[in-house]
Amino acid sequence: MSDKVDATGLSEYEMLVRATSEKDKGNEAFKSADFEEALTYYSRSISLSRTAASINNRALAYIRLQRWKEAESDCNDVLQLEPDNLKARLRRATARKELLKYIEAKNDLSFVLDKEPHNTRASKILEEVEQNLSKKSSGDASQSTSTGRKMMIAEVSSDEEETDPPTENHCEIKEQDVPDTLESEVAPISATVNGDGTEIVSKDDKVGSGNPETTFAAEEPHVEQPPPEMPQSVLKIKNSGKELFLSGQYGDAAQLYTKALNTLQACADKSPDLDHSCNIALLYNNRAACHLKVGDDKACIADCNEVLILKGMDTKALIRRAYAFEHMEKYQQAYLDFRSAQTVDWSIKQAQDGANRVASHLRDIHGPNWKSVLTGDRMIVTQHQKTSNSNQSAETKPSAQKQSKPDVTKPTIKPNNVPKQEIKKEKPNKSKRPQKSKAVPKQKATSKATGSKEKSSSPTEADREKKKEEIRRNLFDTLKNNGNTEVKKGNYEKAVECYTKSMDICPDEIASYTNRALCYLKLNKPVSAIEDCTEAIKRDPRNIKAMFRRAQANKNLKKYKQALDDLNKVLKLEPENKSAHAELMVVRKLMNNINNEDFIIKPSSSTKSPMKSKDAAKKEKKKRKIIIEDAESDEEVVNMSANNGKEDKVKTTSIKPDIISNGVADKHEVQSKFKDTKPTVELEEKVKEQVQTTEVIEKKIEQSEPNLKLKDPEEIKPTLDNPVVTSAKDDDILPQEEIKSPVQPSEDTKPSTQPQDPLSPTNTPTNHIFMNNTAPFVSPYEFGNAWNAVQPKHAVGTYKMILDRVPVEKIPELVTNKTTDHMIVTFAKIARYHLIAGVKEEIDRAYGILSSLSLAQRFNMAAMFLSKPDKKHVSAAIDDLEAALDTGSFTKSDVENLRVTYML
Amino acid sequence: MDKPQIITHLEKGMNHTLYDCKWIPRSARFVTLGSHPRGTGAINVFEINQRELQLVKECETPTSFKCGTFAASSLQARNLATGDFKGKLSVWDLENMKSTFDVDAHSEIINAIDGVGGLGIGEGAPELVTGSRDGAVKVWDVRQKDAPVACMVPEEGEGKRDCWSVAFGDAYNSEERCVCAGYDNGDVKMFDLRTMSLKWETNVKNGVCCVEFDRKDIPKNKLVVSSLEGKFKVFDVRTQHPKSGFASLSENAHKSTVWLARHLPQNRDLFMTTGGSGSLSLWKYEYPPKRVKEEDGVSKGVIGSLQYLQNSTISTQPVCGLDWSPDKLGLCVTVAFDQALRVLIVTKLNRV
Repeated sequence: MSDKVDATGLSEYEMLVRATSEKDKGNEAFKSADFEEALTYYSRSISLSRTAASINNRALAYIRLQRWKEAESDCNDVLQLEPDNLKARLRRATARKELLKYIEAKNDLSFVLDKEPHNTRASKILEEVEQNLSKKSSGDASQSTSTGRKMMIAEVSSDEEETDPPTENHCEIKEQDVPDTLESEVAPISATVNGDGTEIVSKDDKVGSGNPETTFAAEEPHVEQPPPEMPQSVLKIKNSGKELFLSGQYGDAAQLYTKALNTLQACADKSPDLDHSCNIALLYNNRAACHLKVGDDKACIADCNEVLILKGMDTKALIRRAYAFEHMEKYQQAYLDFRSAQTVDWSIKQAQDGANRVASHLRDIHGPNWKSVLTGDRMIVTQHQKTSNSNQSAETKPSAQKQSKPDVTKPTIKPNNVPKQEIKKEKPNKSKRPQKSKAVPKQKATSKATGSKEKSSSPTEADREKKKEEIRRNLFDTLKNNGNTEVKKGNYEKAVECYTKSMDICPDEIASYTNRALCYLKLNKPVSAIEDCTEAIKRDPRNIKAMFRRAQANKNLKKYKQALDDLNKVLKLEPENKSAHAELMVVRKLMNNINNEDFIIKPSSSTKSPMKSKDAAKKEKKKRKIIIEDAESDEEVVNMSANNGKEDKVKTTSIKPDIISNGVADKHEVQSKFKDTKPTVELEEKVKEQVQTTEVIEKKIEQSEPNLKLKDPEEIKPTLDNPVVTSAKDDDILPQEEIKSPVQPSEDTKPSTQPQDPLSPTNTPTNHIFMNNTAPFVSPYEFGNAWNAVQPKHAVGTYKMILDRVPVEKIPELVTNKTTDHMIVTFAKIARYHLIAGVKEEIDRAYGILSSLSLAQRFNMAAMFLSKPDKKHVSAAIDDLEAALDTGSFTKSDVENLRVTYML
Repeated sequence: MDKPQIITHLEKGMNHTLYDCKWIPRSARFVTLGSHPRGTGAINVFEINQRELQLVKECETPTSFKCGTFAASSLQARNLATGDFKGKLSVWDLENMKSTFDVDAHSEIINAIDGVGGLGIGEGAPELVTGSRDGAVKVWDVRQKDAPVACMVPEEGEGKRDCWSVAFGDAYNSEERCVCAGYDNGDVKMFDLRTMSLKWETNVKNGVCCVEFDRKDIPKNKLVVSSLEGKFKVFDVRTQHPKSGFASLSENAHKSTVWLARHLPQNRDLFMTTGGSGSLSLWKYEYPPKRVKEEDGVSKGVIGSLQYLQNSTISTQPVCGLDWSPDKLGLCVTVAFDQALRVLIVTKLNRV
């Protein structure tokens, strides 16, 4: 592609539009890491319209490609257009550093730092540059180049990716992101705000202006004494601080907050009976926000520590500290802080995003086993709030230690106030998140978390450990149960999230790994599934579930050899495992298949008609392959259901009605469309298409319900002892019965892995409703649903029960256009049933069924496709009819007519 | 609330069936194509005027329309190319509602049409491609009236398949250009128009309702193939392996036919799929860390993953037409078989 766009004949506006679209393309390519390509697009954009944004982006692309000279000249261009563009300055500094122009780089950097004194990247590069400068001056030039370069690469890969996105608007987003959260934090302080951020309002109202004491009491009847109002003077300072903050003057705001803190503390000194800890915490929290904004990470962390000491698990403080840690590249601490914020409150998106982001960094640094690095010091860091950081904070603020040392110099809070303070600590957690009430154990866990903290002063270390263990256990169970419910619902992605979290909490629990592996299998992410299984097997080399799932994943990846290995291992451990046997067969079959298959791509041939015909054999083969694949997926479900217990079972059973109703709905929908719009040619065709589709769907249903289908003896075995096979006839027995099948894997000792009771009436509405009911069908939809729900497809008895609910004359109306050959044959069979009785009404009904079916839409089409054995069935029925002529109230010519309409 | 939201901004019921809708580039107007109950065609031009939909122009023609596109027209002319139920390809001047170009392109209905080279998208001559029930895929240059530039028909003896969808791609310079076509039996074929050869083909098992490249005017990058039975596939068509072809991933959506997949013109990694139950789903493609891996000295593509961003059900009937505004990020118009057209706004697309 050329670097220039031919702009002849384009108007100015068109050129601008083209330039923007080329820049967009460049950004996209940049995102997919095609820097060369991005470069081309940016160049094209620039050739159309020289905007600073495109040139700046191109500079970044050059930097990524390590073409420093070009990068520098591009930055020069940008700075000519926009002398104050800091990004361009920074990029030029980066490029110049690589070009060994240290002095110029330093100039650029000091310019940046002049404008943005807390730009961490700039200061970091500056540091490197200065280092190199000093090295250079000491005559170590050759070495300096090499080290300089190395550092540069690290810099680009780690830092720049985030802070320096290629798009301009991206940058805006970054800046918007933070204020959003901060606004909700600061705004409610004035208590005049529009009630967004509900939780905070309720909390801060009482703290801030202190007016709604009544509402406060109503909200929290447990608290005996409301926290004192903030003194007027402090409030004033705080409000002006808030204004400054909102207008973006973070440094000044921080100063004001400091002032507010000092006055408040002075107040507290004066009137020691009032407990201002809550207010102090609030001020610290706000100041932390300012520090974070300004980039003063250390101060931010110190402030957050204060808050955490004063208020226990405050999510905002945790998150701020995490951000600060992240900026300082202390990813482990950042990760743990994000995590603990998450455990306090799930719904915090920032915490989730942050944890993910930091996790990816950690993964980059420590490799796939980064979690083990983490768990090593998990113990230490979970106590972070109290132990490790109190030292740190002790340096900055002596008052921070009041909890451990009640006799500190600043008597902000007198020892006798401590119990009250305790209550308050708990309060925000409880009042803040009413939605938590649905997850009771979780709430317990959090309140316990605070509880454990309270006790930290008195009980022994061991006791605390125990408590902690218990909390963790609780959390883990909740998470896992959440995961299991998600699996039940079919939300595998959410389930994966839950399990991942549970893994963080108890990295040694195998269940989370095997469960997550299952989810990955369902999500068709076999590679991740394999990883999880391997992890589980590492912890328990005899875990059959993990091996079996890994085998399945390997099968999906077509790594049949590995799959075979695993299956053999399973069978060694448990020779009776039926599903493993079945899986083994499938894998062997597939292996043979793949050996036979050839992937030769046809050479492109004639220019006139490139569509070449495939020879029949090949097509045949292809088709066969598809069938095999289908069968394979069936078996997989069977295996899973037979082996893995409830989760899977629920999945299969609950999915079935879905498909059915959906298929029918589709038909229905098409049909209504059909009616509404006076079908045009095209529409008719589409409808046909759809009908064919639904036929396919029907078949699919057949296949996707392996527990009901008697396909081959191997499949029956695992489900043979349970009543599901006959469930179509004995409608009272729900397929879930199967869950209690004796085929449960023996190694399954952890009952908590399984969801409690999957027996919910919603799972099989179709069978249940339609079978038990004896009222006549009203709509074709109902009839169709019932008809399609019948399993197995040759259960004439069940079909007859359905048809018995239909008056003869209504048949065409109910069948509508969904006549199929299968339906015709079934009708014929039902007619024969009726004939056996030999009673007049029955015989008349038999005739009625057959004759009115022939009036249904699409009947002729369906009859045309009757196969020979099908026709035999039908003609046998008609022969029987003929034989029963004497008793019936129809004539011979009627029967002959029937024969003609059925094309016999 | 950081996720994009799909908001129905305006809605209007019509008295005829709608099949397709397209924004008129650089305007707040769009055109709908459809069929009156008596079997005649309908072209309507709407304008968004102060939060209301105004019918600006309407025109009834002898045959119903199935599909249309502006993609082969210049930005000045903005002529609409249409395919109708009798196989006629026409180009309309929407100012006076007169056709400037007519050709009996196919013997049966034209199911799909696409264009390239117009609107500043794609290099080279403006061309149209049509796919029809008669099994043929034909490429047209509107400057050359009587014969198609290229014609891809099944060889004699081979059964004709109903072509349901066509798409241009790979038009990054004046020579390269390719056409992708999807058929009712699940075949997907990619034709290279420069070498006039079949570049790649596959079968996705179910009838292919829609094929679309993420962008037409870049070296072919990604291809989305949507099909019956609630499935669609994304192919990374950048790297073709001599044996295994393109890397792909398959995703289930809508639990019913996936009628359409439409990429956002402003960001190729976002696309919307529409379902047979009137639902819309918004997806984001995420690239793998490395898009190409070496395998025995041959490079092979690596597929990324899809992120499910949002869904919304706007209708009870299949959504058969959707067009993103080329000018306003997040604005789109849809038509569904419930005879209604809707203008939707999808928020926060720049933050995704």
